[in-house]
Amino acid sequence: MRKLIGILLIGGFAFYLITVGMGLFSAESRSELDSVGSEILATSPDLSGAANTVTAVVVQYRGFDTLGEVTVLFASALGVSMLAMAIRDGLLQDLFDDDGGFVLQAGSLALLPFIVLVGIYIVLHGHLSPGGGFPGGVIIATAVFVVILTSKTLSIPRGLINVLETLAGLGFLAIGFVGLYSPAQSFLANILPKGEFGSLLSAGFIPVIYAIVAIKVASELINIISKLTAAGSASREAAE
Amino acid sequence: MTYIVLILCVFLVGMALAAVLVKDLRSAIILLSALSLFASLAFLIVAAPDVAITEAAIGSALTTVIFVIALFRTRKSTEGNTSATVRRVDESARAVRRKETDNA
Repeated sequence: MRKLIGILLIGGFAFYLITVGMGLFSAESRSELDSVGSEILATSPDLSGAANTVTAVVVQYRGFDTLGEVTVLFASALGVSMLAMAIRDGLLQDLFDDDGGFVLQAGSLALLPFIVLVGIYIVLHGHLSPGGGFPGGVIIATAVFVVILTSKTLSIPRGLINVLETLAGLGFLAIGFVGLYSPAQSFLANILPKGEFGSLLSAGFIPVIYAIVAIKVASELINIISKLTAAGSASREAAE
Repeated sequence: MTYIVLILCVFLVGMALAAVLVKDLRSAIILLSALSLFASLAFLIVAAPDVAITEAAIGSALTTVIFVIALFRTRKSTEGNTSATVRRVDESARAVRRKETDNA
């Protein structure tokens, strides 16, 4: 019965994909889809100074929505943390019976700086090339996940991560209020100088906002995973 | 170009089917991870590189890690001396499974 439901769901999904594919590649629907996009493409370089229009839309055209997204992420991280706190006794035991062995541990530690470097690159070039704060933050957190999954002795400085997360959240709001009390008089107004189009220091506050978002996303995810695997320092001390 | 995307879509549906039908839960997790990787390739081909990067980072890295942790946690708590509630849930699950095999 459950298998039948699964097959039905996937069949529906396949039908959906095929229909969307047909619509996407026929010529009639193209012009309708492009009317908003062409407007944004025309105004974005002057308005935001970002070479990547997707980033300009996410941070500048709908920056308030992005603040809402960050808030949703914060609320879900809070929920998982409270759940993990309630069942902490069961989580004190280690995830795996044996650690990954020397080669796996050393390999994951050697990978850590490179994955973090790629994440930082993706965050800082969010206004020039594809990427940005959300995927970059996840990539930075992934580097830590690899170490958490292979090593049993890792302890995460949870206090530092909580401070970083709080400062990032407050920083986003602070930038918004700076825009509100600037001459532009609107929440999250881009008041910083735009710089030279296409260079690293351009697009005003967009790289700053994306750096803040990346710090918030990475610290929240590391916090969640460290609580689920008892790699955090607090529960380890309680166990001893 | 259209045909490459359509072939990719067939691959995606096949992997999703395999993830549902496979017996081993670990294989199902890896299949879902591979599905995300192929989906990010499809996004890249239809000129959405931002979405492709996000799908690759979240779909095939973060989700897989969380699924693996959840799988090992459930296995840990259902074996050995655990709380009475967990044992009761485990027994009822086993009873349901027995009933399903009887019906089949």
